[in-house]
Parts: sequence; structure tokens; C-alpha cells
Amino acid sequence: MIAEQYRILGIPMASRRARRALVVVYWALILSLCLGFVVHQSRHGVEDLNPWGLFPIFVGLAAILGGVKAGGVVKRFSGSDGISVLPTPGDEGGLTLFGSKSIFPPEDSGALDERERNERNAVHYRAYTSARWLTLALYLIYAGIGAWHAAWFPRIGPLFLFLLTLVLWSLPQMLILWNEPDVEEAR
Amino acid sequence: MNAELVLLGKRVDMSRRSRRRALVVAIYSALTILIALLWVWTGWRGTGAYAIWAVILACRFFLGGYYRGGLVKPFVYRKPMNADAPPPLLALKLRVYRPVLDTDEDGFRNDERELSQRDHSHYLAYQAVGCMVAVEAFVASMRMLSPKLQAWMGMPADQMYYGFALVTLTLFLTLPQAILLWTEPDLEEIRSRH
Repeated sequence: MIAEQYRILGIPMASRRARRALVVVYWALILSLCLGFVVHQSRHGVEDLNPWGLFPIFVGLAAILGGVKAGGVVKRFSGSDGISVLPTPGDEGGLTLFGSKSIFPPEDSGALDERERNERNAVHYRAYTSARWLTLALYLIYAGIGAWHAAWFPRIGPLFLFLLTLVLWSLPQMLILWNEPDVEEAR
Repeated sequence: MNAELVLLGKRVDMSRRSRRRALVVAIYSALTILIALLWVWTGWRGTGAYAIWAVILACRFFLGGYYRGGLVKPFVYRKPMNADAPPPLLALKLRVYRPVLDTDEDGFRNDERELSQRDHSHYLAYQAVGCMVAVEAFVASMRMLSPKLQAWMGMPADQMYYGFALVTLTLFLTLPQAILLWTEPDLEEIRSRH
């Protein structure tokens, strides 16, 4: 599932150590974003926030990890057995953000074989289960905060929504990056 | 997957895909109407949790998967902790119970094919929920960018976010089972293949 030739800032992602470091950095970025969001809201209110700045962050972060888009550390998930969303010319179907071509060789970004498809599905099962609990927890927190202080509803809502979006669009990739053994070791 | 439901003491054959699809449509229609009615009547103030309870009951009695009971076998590959406990009072009163199986194991243990289907249905459900949450985030962003949209949408921001949470949670709890029920062919067809 790993695009072996992928490098970030010159660091090869073939070793598990490097990939785990990437996951840690990614989570640090997400938490920093959420913290920045809360601080900005408390100082300037939600109306003053320009959400257009958030979408490049979503797309950029997801693109680095891959999975939802060709050209990242994780091979692209989509295949003929996916749901077609925003299909692009020559696309077999599946979740795509944009129709840009991969800059990496075909062997790293090509279709998944059967073993990789099974692994992808199993990872999504685990990710779905975790995300389900996370959503339930966020809902309970959200409802609890609303019952305690209803004026916070409009402030907390967008934060939880953006947090959930970032987590959902990256959790399967992070599970793969964290658990996949070194490429050399696997061989 | 179980081939029948037992509701109010009556056995309903669900081995045909058309029936299962009708059940899925009926469940989502009922949940949509319930959530809409709760919004119209109360704006989900103090009543949103009723929708979640309705989803849990739908899973428990019809869909299964994350809960014991229903058509889809439990997703978790282990014997339930309360497997030997008597059925709950509500199930007894409604006479909703599962048919007695030859062995205890068949009721919860998935074979390799079923595990593969479970994983694939979660992959599809994950994509759908991921896209839906992204659309919700986009709508929320538009609203933050242009507060005038609030007047156009006719719904306060707090209600909109709460509605998003309800819909997201509903899909999270039901979508993999619904995909399985929708896509699985007639059970007779599967048996004839083997």
C-alpha cells in the first residue's frame, strides 16, 4: 500500500520510522489547526473567519498522505469497486479530490492488487469503527455543551465538523502508515 | 446474513434482495420523516436524542451488524459477552426474536467471505460518509463566509450543526448494514452457486 519512491523533504517514506514521524507531525498540524480555530473564534468571532483558507489545508494535507488522491505516500484507494464521486476522464471510479495526474511512476500509483484491496478494506473497517466512536463522543460532548451553555453551539459546531472532516479524510491512511512494516523487511 | 426476521411473532422471509431493499428504503424513509418532524415541532431542542434511539432500535431489530439481532450478523468476530442472557423484555413484548439456530456459533461467527463483505461495505460506507461530512463542512464554511445565508436557509446556525450531527451519526450507525442488505444477492442464488 506504500508508494516506495515517495519522499517528503528528501526523506524516503519506505521506512516505518519515517512514516510514523509523518503521522505524528500530521496530528500535531491538525491539533494546531483546531487550537488556532478556537483562539480565532474567541477573539474575532466565527463570522470573521475566512473558510476559503481551510479548504487548501484539507486538500493539501490529504494529498500528502495519499489514498484519496494519487501521488501521496499511500497508494490511491479507488478502483472499479469504489463509489464514483467526481469521476474524471480515465478514472476507474472511487473517491477523488481533483483529476490531476500523478507525478510518480505508474507502478507506485497504479491499481491495487487483490491483497492490497483486502488490506484497504480491512483498514477502512477499523477506521470506520474508530470514527464511529469519535462521532458519537463528539455528539455527546456537543449536546452536553449545548445543554450547559446554548450560546456555544454555533462556536463549537464548526470546530467539531472540521475536526471530523480532517480525521475522516486521513484516518485509514494513517493506520496504514503506522502499521505497515518497512518495505525492506516486508520483502 | 439471516434469512428471516421475526416481528410480532410472525416470520418474514427476507432471503430475497427486493425485500431487503424495500426494508432499507422503509427504514431510511421512517428515520428521515422522524428527524424532519422533530425539527418542525421542536427544532431538535431536547428531542434530538429520540432520533438516535430510533436508529439504535432499527439496528437492533432490523439491520443488525453493530448490535445483536437483525438481519446482518454481528460485525465483531467474537461471542457476545451476554450471549447466554435471556432476551430483553422489550423484545419479548414485541415478540421480536431470532430463530433458534442449530449451533450457537453460527449466530455470531462470520466466515471468510462474510468478513470480506463486511470490510468492503465499510470501505464504501466510509467513502460516502467522508464525502457527506466534507459537504457539511463546505456548507458550514459558506455560512461563516456569508452570514446572509442564514436568512436564506431559514434555520439558525445551532440547529443546522445539530442537524448535521444527527444525520452523520445516523449514517455512521446504519450505512454498512444497509449496503450489505442492498447489494447481497438472493440467498437462493448464493446457495446454488455453492
